[in-house]
Amino acid sequence: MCWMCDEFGDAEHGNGLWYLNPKNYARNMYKLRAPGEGFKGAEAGLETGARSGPSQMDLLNAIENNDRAEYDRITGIMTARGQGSQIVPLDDADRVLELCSPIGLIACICRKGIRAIDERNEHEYTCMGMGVGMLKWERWPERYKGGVAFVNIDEAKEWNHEMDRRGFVHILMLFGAPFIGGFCQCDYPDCGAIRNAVDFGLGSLKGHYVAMVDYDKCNGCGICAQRCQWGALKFEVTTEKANVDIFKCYGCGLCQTGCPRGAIKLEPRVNVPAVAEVWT
Amino acid sequence: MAKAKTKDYFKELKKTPYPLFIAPKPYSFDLNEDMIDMLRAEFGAELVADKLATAIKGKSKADTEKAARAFFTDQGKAWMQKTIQLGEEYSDRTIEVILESVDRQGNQFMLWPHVPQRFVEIAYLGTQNFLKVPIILNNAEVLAYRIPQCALYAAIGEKCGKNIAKMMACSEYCMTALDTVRKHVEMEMLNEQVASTAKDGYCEFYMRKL
Repeated sequence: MCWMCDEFGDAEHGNGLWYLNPKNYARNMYKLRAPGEGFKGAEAGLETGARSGPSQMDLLNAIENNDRAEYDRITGIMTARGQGSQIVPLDDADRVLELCSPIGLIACICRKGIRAIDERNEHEYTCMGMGVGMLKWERWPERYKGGVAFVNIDEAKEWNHEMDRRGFVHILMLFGAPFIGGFCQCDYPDCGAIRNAVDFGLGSLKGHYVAMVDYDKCNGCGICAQRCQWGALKFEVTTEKANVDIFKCYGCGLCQTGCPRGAIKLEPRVNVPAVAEVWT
Repeated sequence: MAKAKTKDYFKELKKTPYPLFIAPKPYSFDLNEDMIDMLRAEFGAELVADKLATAIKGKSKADTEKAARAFFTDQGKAWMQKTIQLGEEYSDRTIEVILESVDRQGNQFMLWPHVPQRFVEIAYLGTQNFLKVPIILNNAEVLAYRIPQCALYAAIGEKCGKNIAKMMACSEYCMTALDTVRKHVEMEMLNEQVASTAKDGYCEFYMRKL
């Protein structure tokens, strides 16, 4: 189990997986403000929220300067603020969608920033917001340009499967731990979360699974290697089979859902001693 | 040489002040503060406890619980009816987003749990001492919340005695209020109380959609 499960999991739900605990999706719709209290942090605006703490750039600078103390200070602040994310495979993603309300399809902010892609309607959206925060999306019109398309659970699952078919990784995003408010659909290098994880070893917690290849079933078609966003899968020339580097595998399961022969299974990380405690 | 006087075609128009552009007020996603004040003025914990003290005054020990439960059943209904009335009168952008989604896209699934949740939050924010209602679950199946350090329980203990408070007749207050929400929103749901302040130190309520 990861430290998030230790802290926010519930043995009665989803075998203790923190993101299958329905309480982590619940939040009040309103709050009263103490006299004289204004808007703070992200509530006041995206820019204010972004400036209210250290950024990933500060973290990268600490790495560049080999400044361990600064690195620890920044990651400490980020953890305390409840920032974070975790990769989940498609089956768990389906279960997640039954635990939250409302569900809104939205434009991806990473693709807008990196590829200048403006997703303008529900047919183009590649990101998902969850929970009552989505009811207040008009507070941040620049973030939600194009609006929000609210969908029911079945529609959300259908959309999620389509994202999986296209080859996107499913990543749950924390908005003040343990509240889960976003469900990103990511690929490398567009997505900030994957990019930070692959290029700098920062950010997302790895999933609770590791991909394993059944060599009797694998015919070496290589589809899984094409779908892997982590550089964890390669085609082995000698054996003419796929091979997983379990230390690089994030357990997203894209290889499994893409395999035409069902030759890849997801093994719980805890059952694989070498990586049982490898979460980043 | 004097400048020739030209006709001012806008002379008449200038007599009336030019209407200045007034930007529309930004959306308010918060609850209306006047509404909360009005609810508190009528159903504040101290007021309700005072009324309870009057209702059970002079009653025998056996009749006290019965009278208290009857009192809270009536009060709970009145409390939530007032909440619903005010909640519908004083709208905010958060609920409008839900209702627009239902009206324009036919997204009926948006009504549960958010419409009942709004009434529950208004009711407790207008009568308790916390700034936000601790919502434990809100999804397609359940809406659940917890009331820690209930102001009403404390006020009953103060005005009527701790033993009266420990009877938890006030459960009727919250349960009747939830039943009033159920009838108003016309949804099939099962309401239950799973923890009580007297026993557990907090109250916890579940509204399950059937």
